[in-house]
Amino acid sequence: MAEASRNTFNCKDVGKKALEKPVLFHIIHVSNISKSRLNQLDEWKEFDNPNNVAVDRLTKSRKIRTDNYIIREVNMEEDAPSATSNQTGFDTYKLLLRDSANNYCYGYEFKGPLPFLRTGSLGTPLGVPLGGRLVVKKGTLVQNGVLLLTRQGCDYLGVDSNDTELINQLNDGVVQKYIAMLEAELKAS
Amino acid sequence: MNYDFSYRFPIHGACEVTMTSVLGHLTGIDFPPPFQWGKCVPGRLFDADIVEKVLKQDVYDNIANEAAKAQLLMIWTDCDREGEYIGYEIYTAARKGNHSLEIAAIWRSKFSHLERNHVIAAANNPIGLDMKSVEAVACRQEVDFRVGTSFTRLLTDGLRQHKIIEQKEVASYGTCQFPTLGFIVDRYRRVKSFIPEQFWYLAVEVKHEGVAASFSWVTGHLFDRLYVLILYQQCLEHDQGTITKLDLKRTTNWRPLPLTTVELQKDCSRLFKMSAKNSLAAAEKLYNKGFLSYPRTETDSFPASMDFSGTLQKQAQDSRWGLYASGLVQNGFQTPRNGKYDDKAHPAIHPVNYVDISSLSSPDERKVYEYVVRRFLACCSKDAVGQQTTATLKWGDQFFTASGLVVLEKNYLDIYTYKKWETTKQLPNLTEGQTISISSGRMKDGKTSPPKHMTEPELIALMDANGIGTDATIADHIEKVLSRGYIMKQKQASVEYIIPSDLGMGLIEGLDAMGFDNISLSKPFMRKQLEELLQEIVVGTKTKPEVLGDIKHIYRQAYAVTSRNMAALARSCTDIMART
Repeated sequence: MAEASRNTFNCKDVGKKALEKPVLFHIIHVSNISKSRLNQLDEWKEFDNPNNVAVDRLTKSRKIRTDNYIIREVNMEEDAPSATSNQTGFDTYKLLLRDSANNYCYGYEFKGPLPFLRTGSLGTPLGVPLGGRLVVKKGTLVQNGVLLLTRQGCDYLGVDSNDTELINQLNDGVVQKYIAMLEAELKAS
Repeated sequence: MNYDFSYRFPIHGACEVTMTSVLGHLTGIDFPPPFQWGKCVPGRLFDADIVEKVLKQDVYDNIANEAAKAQLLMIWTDCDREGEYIGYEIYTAARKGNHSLEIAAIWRSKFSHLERNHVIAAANNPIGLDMKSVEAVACRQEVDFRVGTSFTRLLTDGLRQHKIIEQKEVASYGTCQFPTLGFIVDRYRRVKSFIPEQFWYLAVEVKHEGVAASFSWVTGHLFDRLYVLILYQQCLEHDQGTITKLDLKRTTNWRPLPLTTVELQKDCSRLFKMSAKNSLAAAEKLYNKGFLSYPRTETDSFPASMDFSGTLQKQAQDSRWGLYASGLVQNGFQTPRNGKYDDKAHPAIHPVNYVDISSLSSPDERKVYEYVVRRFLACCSKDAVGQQTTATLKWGDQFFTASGLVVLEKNYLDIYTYKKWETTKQLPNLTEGQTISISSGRMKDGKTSPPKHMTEPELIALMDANGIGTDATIADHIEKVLSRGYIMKQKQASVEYIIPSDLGMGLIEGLDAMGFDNISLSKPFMRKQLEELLQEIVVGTKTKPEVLGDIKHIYRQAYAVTSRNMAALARSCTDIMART
């Protein structure tokens, strides 16, 4: 941890190599790359105000809230899933990370889900609070400038009381921020 | 029409019986003259007096007259909540003519279809009238009436004033109508505001002994090009993949569950393009003729006492499915699967007596009867069985699967012709652990496709799942919003979609923009809450005055907000009409 906090990450290489030293990062942002932005927007809006959410679909997915939960999506066909549907049972997340020298980089979940991203106790679609500390261990694969994060390759340290300012800055109004960001991304696409 | 006959009731001995009928509700509720339209502000209707109004005076008088000569009253209305309430209305009419009739002394027969032995058993074992169900219906009726009338007058007057509807037109509000409309508007908006998004995925083909197979990526697809590219680059370092798993699995395709009203309406809409109202109407006619069991039921199971063999045997004479039915009787049938819903009043819908469908004059009745019979035969059949082979391929660090299905035994599918399950293209002869060269490995992209507009079967499913209306009333609510001009049916290709009209759209958008305090007049929550509270009245954990008080309070607040924002609501309608 002490060493990791001194190390920085500034990779401009396009190739593939192993991380030479452990690096400490803050998790600045988490995005789901398995779901379309429109679907994510629906989920976030439901947390914002369930009375404003579209109610035209019945969904069989997990019950997010028990009160005022609307069934919005109905599976009218009993057919097998299509060729491009997710059979793994979990979504893949992409993290925006920042090291102690303010270098930013992306980290992707690689070879299976990272448990710390799925605590599910926040009451939002987000499975982990923003601003937590993550040590990416030496030997982690770096390809095209991004980190490929495995369960063994990183240690999640949680939110640190020294980071209160950052944590508040990132998590205050997180629902509205995600909604605004997803909407902006959709508009740009 | 009255029928006189004698019958020996085991608990009372020989009786002279007069039987008569009512056809739905005998009485309704109304406001007294000072509260008629135009005489008071609609907001007062939440607390105005309510008077009982006789809807069918001749039927009402007939019951009162006949009751004058009677010692006992026996109720034979449908055995559901609404039927219980109609039973109470009959009692009220009868008591008008005969004050010695006591509510506790009413005989209430419990029956679910009109087959002779069943009816006789019901006659011989009467129970009492369930006053809690009566209370629940009275509560629902009062809520619907007060809320419906006050909002309808408010909306109509407001929209007329702003010239959005004609002076003669009415803009009705109903606690079920608007959530129904809400589903359709939400879907319409979702289709209109859809933005396609690009995704990327990996696709692999291998060839073995001249047989090709396409494998799909277990990850599905990802909305991130860079990441998929990285994974693809990693895969490309390998010319070969490995078959890591070969799964040979016996799969069953389950026979259907016993039939509920909602399932019947969904399937008839999907298979025969029949509206929910028409399919229920056809099933009710078949019930009244004694061919089907009571078609308004939420129960997807059969009682243990059900005579399956006898019911199947009656179908043996049919030229289309008779052979199959007698096969089940002779070679042994399966006890149907039991679903998890039970309204404790009626079993699942099933054929009671045989009728040759070519003798039925209505095409709807023919289709519904055949469907109910085939569904029942399927319920009593074995599940279909197949063999599924699933191969898992590892290429680099990525996993892909391909599968092939062989249908071994069709069983229920032979008779349940509405469902297809067929043998697919077969996989090459692979072995576990085998390395295999990748004949094609590609990174592909695609786009999300827009959702489809609402269809009637989907709407029924949504209403059912969200507690809007009951099996018995869902069809009426859809019909109501259609007749009010809030929605339209539109045919595209061979599918009929439901879309909102400008007025329907404007009303929902206007109401949604009003900023109610944590409630919504267009979403299903409040109605669902009411249905749950009514159920509490039925089981006895709440009383009618309690529920009425709570619900009225909520709607009264919503009324105040709507009343203040009428101009904005009108503007929302004008804006939408101007846009198109």
